[in-house]
Amino acid sequence: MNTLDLIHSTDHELIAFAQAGSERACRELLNRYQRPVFSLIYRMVRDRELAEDLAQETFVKVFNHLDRYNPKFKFSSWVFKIGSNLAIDTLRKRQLRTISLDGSRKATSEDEIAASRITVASGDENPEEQLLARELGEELERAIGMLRPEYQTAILLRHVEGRPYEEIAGIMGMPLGTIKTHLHRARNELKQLLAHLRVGM
Amino acid sequence: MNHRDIRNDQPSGKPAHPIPPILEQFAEDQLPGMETRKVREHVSRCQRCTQEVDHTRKLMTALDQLPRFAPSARFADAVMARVDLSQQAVPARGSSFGQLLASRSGWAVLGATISAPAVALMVVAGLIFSQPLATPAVLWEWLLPRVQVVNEGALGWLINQLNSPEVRNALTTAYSAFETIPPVALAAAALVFTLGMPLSLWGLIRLTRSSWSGRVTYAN
Repeated sequence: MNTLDLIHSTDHELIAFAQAGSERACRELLNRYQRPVFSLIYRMVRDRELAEDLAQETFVKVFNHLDRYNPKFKFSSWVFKIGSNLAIDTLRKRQLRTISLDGSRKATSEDEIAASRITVASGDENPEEQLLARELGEELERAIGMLRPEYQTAILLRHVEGRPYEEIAGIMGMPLGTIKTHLHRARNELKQLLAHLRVGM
Repeated sequence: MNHRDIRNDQPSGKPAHPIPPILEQFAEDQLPGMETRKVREHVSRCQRCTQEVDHTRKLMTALDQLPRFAPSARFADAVMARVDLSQQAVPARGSSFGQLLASRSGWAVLGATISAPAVALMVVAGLIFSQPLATPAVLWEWLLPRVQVVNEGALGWLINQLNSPEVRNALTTAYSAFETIPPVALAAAALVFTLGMPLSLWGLIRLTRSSWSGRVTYAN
Protein backbone atom coordinates (compact mmCIF):
# COMPACT_ATOMS: atom_id res chain seq x y z
CA MET A 1 0.00 0.00 0.00
CA ASN A 2 1.67 3.23 -1.12
CA THR A 3 0.74 6.87 -0.51
CA LEU A 4 -1.04 7.15 -3.84
CA ASP A 5 -3.26 4.18 -2.93
CA LEU A 6 -4.22 5.89 0.30
CA ILE A 7 -5.05 9.16 -1.43
CA HIS A 8 -7.41 7.33 -3.76
CA SER A 9 -8.94 5.16 -1.05
CA THR A 10 -12.43 5.79 0.26
CA ASP A 11 -12.97 6.77 3.87
CA HIS A 12 -14.23 3.27 4.66
CA GLU A 13 -11.13 1.68 3.15
CA LEU A 14 -8.92 4.02 5.14
CA ILE A 15 -10.80 3.17 8.33
CA ALA A 16 -10.25 -0.53 7.64
CA PHE A 17 -6.50 0.13 7.18
CA ALA A 18 -6.44 2.22 10.35
CA GLN A 19 -8.21 -0.53 12.29
CA ALA A 20 -5.49 -2.87 11.10
CA GLY A 21 -2.94 -0.49 12.64
CA SER A 22 -1.96 1.75 9.72
CA GLU A 23 -0.79 5.14 10.95
CA ARG A 24 -0.56 6.43 7.37
CA ALA A 25 -4.27 5.72 6.89
CA CYS A 26 -5.00 7.79 10.00
CA ARG A 27 -2.86 10.61 8.67
CA GLU A 28 -4.74 10.54 5.36
CA LEU A 29 -8.07 10.76 7.23
CA LEU A 30 -6.61 13.64 9.25
CA ASN A 31 -5.51 15.32 6.04
CA ARG A 32 -9.08 15.11 4.73
CA TYR A 33 -10.93 16.31 7.79
CA GLN A 34 -8.66 18.41 9.99
CA ARG A 35 -9.51 21.71 8.27
CA PRO A 36 -13.32 21.38 8.30
CA VAL A 37 -13.38 20.08 11.87
CA PHE A 38 -10.93 22.72 13.11
CA SER A 39 -12.86 25.48 11.29
CA LEU A 40 -16.15 24.43 12.82
CA ILE A 41 -14.72 24.31 16.34
CA TYR A 42 -12.70 27.53 15.91
CA ARG A 43 -15.78 29.47 14.79
CA MET A 44 -17.68 28.15 17.78
CA VAL A 45 -15.13 28.72 20.54
CA ARG A 46 -13.36 31.76 18.94
CA ASP A 47 -10.04 30.83 20.46
CA ARG A 48 -7.39 29.29 18.22
CA GLU A 49 -5.52 27.51 21.00
CA LEU A 50 -8.66 26.07 22.55
CA ALA A 51 -9.98 25.12 19.11
CA GLU A 52 -6.76 23.27 18.36
CA ASP A 53 -6.99 21.39 21.66
CA LEU A 54 -10.61 20.41 21.03
CA ALA A 55 -9.94 19.39 17.44
CA GLN A 56 -7.03 17.24 18.65
CA GLU A 57 -9.27 15.67 21.28
CA THR A 58 -11.84 14.96 18.58
CA PHE A 59 -9.43 13.02 16.38
CA VAL A 60 -7.80 11.23 19.30
CA LYS A 61 -11.27 9.99 20.34
CA VAL A 62 -12.03 8.99 16.78
CA PHE A 63 -8.84 7.01 16.18
CA ASN A 64 -8.77 5.39 19.61
CA HIS A 65 -12.38 4.22 19.21
CA LEU A 66 -12.52 3.23 15.57
CA ASP A 67 -14.13 -0.04 16.68
CA ARG A 68 -17.22 2.02 17.61
CA TYR A 69 -17.60 3.47 14.13
CA ASN A 70 -20.80 2.37 12.42
CA PRO A 71 -20.20 2.10 8.66
CA LYS A 72 -23.89 2.79 8.03
CA PHE A 73 -23.08 6.47 8.62
CA LYS A 74 -20.57 8.77 6.94
CA PHE A 75 -17.23 8.97 8.69
CA SER A 76 -17.33 12.76 8.38
CA SER A 77 -20.70 12.88 10.19
CA TRP A 78 -19.23 10.90 13.07
CA VAL A 79 -16.21 13.21 13.32
CA PHE A 80 -18.34 16.36 13.13
CA LYS A 81 -20.68 14.97 15.78
CA ILE A 82 -17.83 14.37 18.21
CA GLY A 83 -16.21 17.73 17.42
CA SER A 84 -19.36 19.82 17.72
CA ASN A 85 -20.40 18.04 20.94
CA LEU A 86 -16.99 18.78 22.45
CA ALA A 87 -17.24 22.45 21.44
CA ILE A 88 -20.80 22.85 22.75
CA ASP A 89 -19.92 21.12 26.03
CA THR A 90 -16.88 23.36 26.45
CA LEU A 91 -18.91 26.51 25.77
CA ARG A 92 -21.52 25.48 28.30
CA LYS A 93 -19.01 24.53 30.97
CA ARG A 94 -16.90 27.64 30.66
CA GLN A 95 -19.73 30.06 29.89
CA LEU A 96 -17.36 31.78 27.50
CA ARG A 97 -20.08 33.59 25.62
CA THR A 98 -20.54 36.31 28.18
CA ILE A 99 -17.10 37.86 27.89
CA SER A 100 -16.45 39.02 24.36
CA LEU A 101 -18.43 39.19 21.16
CA ASP A 102 -15.57 40.12 18.88
CA GLY A 103 -12.81 37.67 19.45
CA SER A 104 -12.03 35.02 21.99
CA ARG A 105 -14.69 34.56 24.61
CA LYS A 106 -11.83 34.16 27.04
CA ALA A 107 -10.33 37.50 26.05
CA THR A 108 -10.71 40.17 28.68
CA SER A 109 -8.58 43.01 27.27
CA GLU A 110 -8.64 44.88 23.95
CA ASP A 111 -5.32 43.32 22.93
CA GLU A 112 -6.55 39.80 23.60
CA ILE A 113 -9.76 40.46 21.71
CA ALA A 114 -7.86 41.81 18.71
CA ALA A 115 -5.42 38.90 18.76
CA SER A 116 -8.17 36.30 18.69
CA ARG A 117 -10.57 38.04 16.30
CA ILE A 118 -11.35 36.01 13.20
CA THR A 119 -10.35 37.98 10.11
CA VAL A 120 -11.30 37.10 6.58
CA ALA A 121 -9.09 37.72 3.56
CA SER A 122 -10.80 38.72 0.32
CA GLY A 123 -9.82 37.62 -3.18
CA ASP A 124 -11.75 40.36 -5.00
CA GLU A 125 -9.70 42.68 -7.19
CA ASN A 126 -11.77 45.85 -7.06
CA PRO A 127 -10.70 47.81 -3.95
CA GLU A 128 -14.28 48.88 -3.21
CA GLU A 129 -15.56 45.31 -3.56
CA GLN A 130 -12.61 44.10 -1.52
CA LEU A 131 -13.53 46.48 1.26
CA LEU A 132 -17.19 45.48 1.16
CA ALA A 133 -16.39 41.77 1.08
CA ARG A 134 -13.94 42.12 3.94
CA GLU A 135 -16.40 44.17 5.95
CA LEU A 136 -19.18 41.64 5.32
CA GLY A 137 -16.92 38.70 6.13
CA GLU A 138 -15.79 40.16 9.42
CA GLU A 139 -19.27 41.26 10.43
CA LEU A 140 -20.63 37.86 9.48
CA GLU A 141 -18.01 36.11 11.61
CA ARG A 142 -18.88 38.41 14.49
CA ALA A 143 -22.59 37.77 14.04
CA ILE A 144 -22.08 33.99 13.92
CA GLY A 145 -20.20 34.29 17.19
CA MET A 146 -23.29 35.78 18.80
CA LEU A 147 -25.57 32.88 17.92
CA ARG A 148 -26.46 30.07 20.32
CA PRO A 149 -24.01 27.14 19.97
CA GLU A 150 -26.72 24.91 18.45
CA TYR A 151 -27.56 27.56 15.83
CA GLN A 152 -23.86 28.04 15.08
CA THR A 153 -23.35 24.34 14.54
CA ALA A 154 -26.36 24.06 12.24
CA ILE A 155 -25.52 27.14 10.17
CA LEU A 156 -21.83 26.26 9.82
CA LEU A 157 -22.53 22.66 8.86
CA ARG A 158 -25.12 23.77 6.33
CA HIS A 159 -23.26 26.64 4.68
CA VAL A 160 -19.53 26.29 5.30
CA GLU A 161 -19.49 22.49 5.05
CA GLY A 162 -22.45 22.18 2.65
CA ARG A 163 -24.04 19.27 4.53
CA PRO A 164 -27.63 18.27 3.68
CA TYR A 165 -30.35 18.84 6.27
CA GLU A 166 -30.74 15.12 7.01
CA GLU A 167 -27.04 14.71 7.74
CA ILE A 168 -27.03 17.75 10.03
CA ALA A 169 -29.93 16.17 11.92
CA GLY A 170 -27.84 13.00 12.31
CA ILE A 171 -24.75 14.90 13.41
CA MET A 172 -26.62 16.98 15.97
CA GLY A 173 -28.87 14.12 17.09
CA MET A 174 -32.03 16.16 16.56
CA PRO A 175 -35.18 15.69 14.45
CA LEU A 176 -35.14 17.14 10.94
CA GLY A 177 -37.88 19.64 11.86
CA THR A 178 -35.78 21.00 14.73
CA ILE A 179 -32.81 21.49 12.41
CA LYS A 180 -34.99 23.43 9.94
CA THR A 181 -36.24 25.62 12.79
CA HIS A 182 -32.67 26.15 14.07
CA LEU A 183 -31.50 27.18 10.59
CA HIS A 184 -34.46 29.51 10.05
CA ARG A 185 -33.97 31.23 13.42
CA ALA A 186 -30.20 31.43 12.94
CA ARG A 187 -30.62 33.08 9.53
CA ASN A 188 -33.17 35.51 10.96
CA GLU A 189 -30.82 36.48 13.76
CA LEU A 190 -27.97 36.91 11.30
CA LYS A 191 -30.11 39.14 9.06
CA GLN A 192 -30.99 41.33 12.04
CA LEU A 193 -27.38 41.50 13.20
CA LEU A 194 -26.17 42.43 9.71
CA ALA A 195 -28.98 44.84 8.83
CA HIS A 196 -26.71 47.88 9.33
CA LEU A 197 -24.21 46.86 6.65
CA ARG A 198 -23.75 48.89 3.45
CA VAL A 199 -24.27 45.81 1.29
CA GLY A 200 -27.88 45.76 2.56
CA MET A 201 -28.00 42.31 4.07
CA MET B 1 -46.83 23.63 0.79
CA ASN B 2 -50.01 23.08 2.84
CA HIS B 3 -52.53 25.40 4.45
CA ARG B 4 -50.24 26.04 7.42
CA ASP B 5 -47.50 27.38 5.16
CA ILE B 6 -49.62 30.18 3.74
CA ARG B 7 -50.71 33.24 5.65
CA ASN B 8 -54.34 34.30 5.51
CA ASP B 9 -55.38 36.28 2.49
CA GLN B 10 -55.05 39.97 3.01
CA PRO B 11 -58.25 42.04 3.39
CA SER B 12 -57.56 43.69 0.04
CA GLY B 13 -57.95 40.33 -1.68
CA LYS B 14 -54.27 40.10 -2.68
CA PRO B 15 -52.78 36.58 -2.62
CA ALA B 16 -51.33 35.33 0.69
CA HIS B 17 -47.56 35.43 1.26
CA PRO B 18 -45.69 32.15 1.80
CA ILE B 19 -44.45 31.88 5.39
CA PRO B 20 -40.76 32.83 5.91
CA PRO B 21 -39.41 29.23 6.25
CA ILE B 22 -40.99 28.38 2.90
CA LEU B 23 -39.47 31.46 1.28
CA GLU B 24 -36.14 30.44 2.79
CA GLN B 25 -36.38 26.95 1.35
CA PHE B 26 -37.32 28.49 -1.99
CA ALA B 27 -34.25 30.75 -1.82
CA GLU B 28 -32.16 27.66 -1.09
CA ASP B 29 -33.75 25.57 -3.89
CA GLN B 30 -34.93 23.06 -1.32
CA LEU B 31 -38.65 23.02 -2.20
CA PRO B 32 -40.20 20.23 -4.29
CA GLY B 33 -40.99 21.12 -7.92
CA MET B 34 -44.72 21.81 -7.54
CA GLU B 35 -44.23 24.09 -4.53
CA THR B 36 -41.31 25.84 -6.20
CA ARG B 37 -43.57 26.78 -9.12
CA LYS B 38 -46.26 28.16 -6.79
CA VAL B 39 -43.80 30.19 -4.74
CA ARG B 40 -41.96 31.46 -7.83
CA GLU B 41 -45.24 32.62 -9.30
CA HIS B 42 -46.05 34.49 -6.10
CA VAL B 43 -42.58 35.98 -5.69
CA SER B 44 -42.56 37.25 -9.29
CA ARG B 45 -45.61 39.37 -8.47
CA CYS B 46 -44.79 40.33 -4.85
CA GLN B 47 -42.16 42.99 -4.15
CA ARG B 48 -42.02 42.19 -0.44
CA CYS B 49 -41.34 38.48 -0.98
CA THR B 50 -38.85 39.25 -3.77
CA GLN B 51 -36.93 41.45 -1.33
CA GLU B 52 -37.07 38.76 1.35
CA VAL B 53 -35.75 36.10 -1.04
CA ASP B 54 -32.97 38.46 -2.20
CA HIS B 55 -31.89 39.15 1.37
CA THR B 56 -31.88 35.45 2.19
CA ARG B 57 -29.85 34.62 -0.92
CA LYS B 58 -27.29 37.35 -0.14
CA LEU B 59 -26.87 35.96 3.37
CA MET B 60 -26.52 32.41 2.08
CA THR B 61 -23.95 33.47 -0.52
CA ALA B 62 -21.93 35.29 2.13
CA LEU B 63 -22.10 32.25 4.42
CA ASP B 64 -21.14 29.88 1.60
CA GLN B 65 -18.04 31.99 0.92
CA LEU B 66 -16.71 31.85 4.46
CA PRO B 67 -13.25 30.29 4.39
CA ARG B 68 -12.09 27.21 6.27
CA PHE B 69 -9.29 27.71 8.75
CA ALA B 70 -6.30 25.42 9.04
CA PRO B 71 -4.88 24.17 12.32
CA SER B 72 -1.16 24.53 13.04
CA ALA B 73 1.42 22.55 11.08
CA ARG B 74 2.13 20.30 14.08
CA PHE B 75 -1.54 19.33 14.43
CA ALA B 76 -1.36 15.88 12.80
CA ASP B 77 1.77 14.91 14.76
CA ALA B 78 0.18 16.05 18.01
CA VAL B 79 -2.88 13.89 17.32
CA MET B 80 -0.92 10.82 16.28
CA ALA B 81 1.26 11.06 19.40
CA ARG B 82 -1.87 10.40 21.47
CA VAL B 83 -3.33 7.64 19.30
CA ASP B 84 -2.82 3.98 20.18
CA LEU B 85 -3.52 1.89 17.12
CA SER B 86 -1.92 -1.24 18.55
CA GLN B 87 -4.98 -1.95 20.70
CA GLN B 88 -7.10 -2.13 17.59
CA ALA B 89 -4.56 -4.06 15.53
CA VAL B 90 -4.02 -6.86 18.05
CA PRO B 91 -7.00 -7.67 20.23
CA ALA B 92 -6.01 -8.53 23.79
CA ARG B 93 -6.03 -12.29 24.42
CA GLY B 94 -7.18 -13.54 27.79
CA SER B 95 -8.37 -16.87 29.15
CA SER B 96 -10.57 -19.03 26.95
CA PHE B 97 -13.57 -18.15 29.11
CA GLY B 98 -12.60 -14.48 28.82
CA GLN B 99 -12.42 -14.82 25.04
CA LEU B 100 -15.82 -16.48 25.07
CA LEU B 101 -17.29 -13.48 26.89
CA ALA B 102 -15.42 -11.02 24.68
CA SER B 103 -17.48 -11.76 21.58
CA ARG B 104 -21.17 -11.73 20.85
CA SER B 105 -21.04 -15.22 19.41
CA GLY B 106 -19.47 -16.36 22.69
CA TRP B 107 -22.31 -14.83 24.67
CA ALA B 108 -24.78 -16.51 22.31
CA VAL B 109 -23.21 -19.91 22.89
CA LEU B 110 -23.21 -19.33 26.62
CA GLY B 111 -26.81 -18.18 26.55
CA ALA B 112 -27.87 -21.20 24.50
CA THR B 113 -26.05 -23.56 26.85
CA ILE B 114 -27.85 -22.16 29.85
CA SER B 115 -31.18 -21.73 28.11
CA ALA B 116 -31.52 -25.20 26.61
CA PRO B 117 -32.09 -27.13 29.88
CA ALA B 118 -34.14 -24.25 31.19
CA VAL B 119 -36.60 -24.45 28.36
CA ALA B 120 -37.13 -28.15 29.05
CA LEU B 121 -37.58 -27.44 32.73
CA MET B 122 -40.07 -24.69 32.03
CA VAL B 123 -42.08 -26.93 29.73
CA VAL B 124 -42.29 -29.61 32.43
CA ALA B 125 -43.25 -26.98 35.02
CA GLY B 126 -45.86 -25.60 32.68
CA LEU B 127 -47.36 -29.04 32.08
CA ILE B 128 -47.49 -29.76 35.79
CA PHE B 129 -49.01 -26.46 36.79
CA SER B 130 -51.57 -26.63 34.01
CA GLN B 131 -53.16 -29.69 35.63
CA PRO B 132 -56.53 -28.84 37.20
CA LEU B 133 -56.87 -28.87 41.01
CA ALA B 134 -53.15 -29.42 41.40
CA THR B 135 -51.70 -27.89 44.55
CA PRO B 136 -47.94 -27.66 45.11
CA ALA B 137 -48.18 -30.28 47.90
CA VAL B 138 -50.01 -32.75 45.69
CA LEU B 139 -47.62 -32.10 42.83
CA TRP B 140 -44.63 -32.55 45.07
CA GLU B 141 -46.05 -35.81 46.36
CA TRP B 142 -46.54 -36.92 42.77
CA LEU B 143 -43.19 -35.72 41.55
CA LEU B 144 -40.87 -36.83 44.34
CA PRO B 145 -41.20 -40.66 43.98
CA ARG B 146 -40.80 -40.36 40.22
CA VAL B 147 -37.67 -38.27 40.58
CA GLN B 148 -36.34 -40.79 43.06
CA VAL B 149 -37.12 -43.68 40.71
CA VAL B 150 -35.36 -41.89 37.86
CA ASN B 151 -32.40 -41.05 40.06
CA GLU B 152 -32.14 -44.57 41.39
CA GLY B 153 -32.42 -45.97 37.89
CA ALA B 154 -29.75 -43.63 36.55
CA LEU B 155 -27.44 -44.17 39.46
CA GLY B 156 -27.99 -47.92 39.29
CA TRP B 157 -27.09 -47.91 35.63
CA LEU B 158 -23.98 -45.90 36.35
CA ILE B 159 -22.97 -48.19 39.18
CA ASN B 160 -23.42 -51.23 36.98
CA GLN B 161 -21.39 -49.61 34.24
CA LEU B 162 -18.54 -48.69 36.48
CA ASN B 163 -18.73 -51.94 38.43
CA SER B 164 -16.08 -50.81 40.83
CA PRO B 165 -16.50 -51.20 44.59
CA GLU B 166 -14.69 -47.90 45.26
CA VAL B 167 -16.77 -45.96 42.81
CA ARG B 168 -19.89 -47.79 43.97
CA ASN B 169 -19.18 -46.89 47.54
CA ALA B 170 -18.44 -43.30 46.62
CA LEU B 171 -21.60 -42.97 44.58
CA THR B 172 -23.68 -44.62 47.24
CA THR B 173 -22.28 -42.22 49.78
CA ALA B 174 -22.98 -39.29 47.46
CA TYR B 175 -26.51 -40.48 46.87
CA SER B 176 -27.07 -40.91 50.58
CA ALA B 177 -25.85 -37.36 51.06
CA PHE B 178 -28.16 -36.17 48.30
CA GLU B 179 -31.08 -37.87 50.03
CA THR B 180 -30.36 -35.87 53.17
CA ILE B 181 -31.01 -32.56 51.33
CA PRO B 182 -34.43 -31.34 52.42
CA PRO B 183 -37.02 -31.36 49.63
CA VAL B 184 -37.71 -27.67 50.31
CA ALA B 185 -34.10 -26.76 49.44
CA LEU B 186 -34.32 -28.76 46.24
CA ALA B 187 -37.55 -27.05 45.31
CA ALA B 188 -36.02 -23.62 46.00
CA ALA B 189 -33.03 -24.41 43.76
CA ALA B 190 -35.35 -25.52 40.98
CA LEU B 191 -37.38 -22.33 41.38
CA VAL B 192 -34.31 -20.07 41.16
CA PHE B 193 -33.11 -21.97 38.12
CA THR B 194 -36.50 -21.66 36.43
CA LEU B 195 -36.78 -17.93 37.11
CA GLY B 196 -33.26 -17.30 35.82
CA MET B 197 -33.95 -18.93 32.49
CA PRO B 198 -36.24 -16.31 30.96
CA LEU B 199 -33.43 -13.81 31.57
CA SER B 200 -31.01 -16.04 29.69
CA LEU B 201 -33.48 -16.38 26.82
CA TRP B 202 -33.94 -12.61 26.71
CA GLY B 203 -30.17 -12.15 26.56
CA LEU B 204 -29.88 -14.73 23.81
CA ILE B 205 -32.57 -13.06 21.71
CA ARG B 206 -30.95 -9.63 22.18
CA LEU B 207 -27.58 -10.96 21.20
CA THR B 208 -28.78 -12.72 18.09
CA ARG B 209 -30.82 -9.72 16.93
CA SER B 210 -27.90 -7.27 17.24
CA SER B 211 -25.43 -6.46 14.48
CA TRP B 212 -22.49 -8.87 14.59
CA SER B 213 -20.14 -6.64 12.67
CA GLY B 214 -19.80 -3.75 15.06
CA ARG B 215 -21.34 -1.28 17.45
CA VAL B 216 -24.40 0.54 16.23
CA THR B 217 -23.98 3.77 18.13
CA TYR B 218 -21.82 6.80 17.62
CA ALA B 219 -19.03 7.36 20.06
CA ASN B 220 -19.06 10.71 21.78
